[in-house]
Amino acid sequence: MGLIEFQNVSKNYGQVQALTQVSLNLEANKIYGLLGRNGAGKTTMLNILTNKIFPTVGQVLLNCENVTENDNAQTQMFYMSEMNLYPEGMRVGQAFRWTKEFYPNFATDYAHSLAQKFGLSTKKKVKALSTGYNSIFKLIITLATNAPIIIFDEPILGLDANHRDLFYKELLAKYNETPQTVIISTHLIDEVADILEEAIIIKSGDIILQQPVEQMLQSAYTVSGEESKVDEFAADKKVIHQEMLGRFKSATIYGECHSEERELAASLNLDITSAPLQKLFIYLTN
Amino acid sequence: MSILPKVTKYQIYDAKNAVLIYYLVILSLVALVGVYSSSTSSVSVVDVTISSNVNNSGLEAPTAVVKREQSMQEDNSFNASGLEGSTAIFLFVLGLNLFKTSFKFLSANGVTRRRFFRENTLAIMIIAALLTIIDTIMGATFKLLGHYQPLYEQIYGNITLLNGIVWAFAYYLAAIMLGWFITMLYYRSSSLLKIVISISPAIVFIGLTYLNRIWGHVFSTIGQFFIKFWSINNLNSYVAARNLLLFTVLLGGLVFLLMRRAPVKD
Repeated sequence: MGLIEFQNVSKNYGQVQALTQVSLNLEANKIYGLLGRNGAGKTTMLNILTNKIFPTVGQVLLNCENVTENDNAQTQMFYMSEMNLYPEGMRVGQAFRWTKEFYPNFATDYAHSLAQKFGLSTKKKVKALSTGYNSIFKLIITLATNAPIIIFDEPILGLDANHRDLFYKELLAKYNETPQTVIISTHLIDEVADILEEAIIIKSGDIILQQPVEQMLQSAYTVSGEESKVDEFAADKKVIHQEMLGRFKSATIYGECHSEERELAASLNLDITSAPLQKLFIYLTN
Repeated sequence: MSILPKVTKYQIYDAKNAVLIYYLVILSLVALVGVYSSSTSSVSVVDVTISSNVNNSGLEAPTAVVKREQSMQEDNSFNASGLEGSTAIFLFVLGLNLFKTSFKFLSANGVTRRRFFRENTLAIMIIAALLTIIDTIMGATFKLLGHYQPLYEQIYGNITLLNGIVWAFAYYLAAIMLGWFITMLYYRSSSLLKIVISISPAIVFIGLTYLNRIWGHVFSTIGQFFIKFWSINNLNSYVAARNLLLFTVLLGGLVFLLMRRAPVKD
């Protein structure tokens, strides 16, 4: 029994079925990646978990309690939604103060220090923030709430490379200091791959895979070297991606890399490396 | 403030500026009318009715409509009336604006619909009570400065202050709840239904006019209902207050039903 349990959750929007009998267990103090293509049902799952919408069928439990209209359960979670839920006239500093009213463990000093690091003025109105700074504003609030469960929906939307890097560093530093359950929903896999412990892949409203990232990465590997030798190696294998660079070629192969494969690769003078999670994701969701 | 539930505290904080602007405008208008009436060469009586306008930002800007000015001898005071009517319109508009933005923000902070309903109901009761007290004090002050007649005295004659306060509170509460109900109705409606709701007053009026032609007495029956509802026939403000509170409870029940399954929308 996990911390969060989705029990046969389905959600219909008219004729469209956004989620189909989703069952899922999430444990405490882990970093989860909810990965799926646009419209796969990631946001719908998170909106149901955080009581923004209702499931058509099924229920979601947090510590064995139904989360729907449950004050106790909802205050255990903080959700950085894609939606703009803050009043436009509210200033960043005011938002910090009001969040502390509802989340008493909100770390105001930490929020201000993060704002300084990201270059976000706390005197600015929320409506005056650019797309990137709007994301930063919501990221800071989410990180500072100190809620046992924090959820990010497309957290790096509009962020430049420096800010994305800073976010990952801050998230990991915070997590190492006080472990929380973190759920990151995104379709930009490569960047988050390094910080995830477990990945959940959702496709057209169905959970198709839930695995520790390490285990998932073992289900594929990349072999690279001279084109003809790579082709020879991959002849009887399932190639899910290949790239050419002059006479050199790299092929991502779906399947575990056993000692026989390693020996064959060595004899052909080929390099074997882990497959990028994104390649695996593209294969699994296509 | 800190003993208040968080949602109540937030909603009162959110309404604070609108209330301050409203009373600032009211006081400015009264001061303006006072200066005007005392500075006119022929001493005059100015009958002022205060009404509200709503600007684009949703804030209410009361305006004084000078209904009539008549020269009188040996009287340099002004007659003002209708503050309660203006406050009720202000509260109705406040009720219209007290839901959507707050609901989104509070749901981002883990507030459930039931909690929002409970604590927002407390907030509107406090706001209605505060405005009743402010209007009572302002009415008493206006009486000292000139001729002022509260709305309840115009309807029910010289009733006690307590009766007036109870009536005004019930009146204000009904106004703000009506605003909340209408905004909920729109929030839960599809685009088509929103259009239907918007034109429904005109459709109802046309329908009633048609029925009146066929059966007769439709408008007089409605008129009788309102006379009874406001207890104008018996001049009993308590009956009107009771009816207004029942109306508020009915609207509150409908608001709860509309809120119960309301999704959070962008």
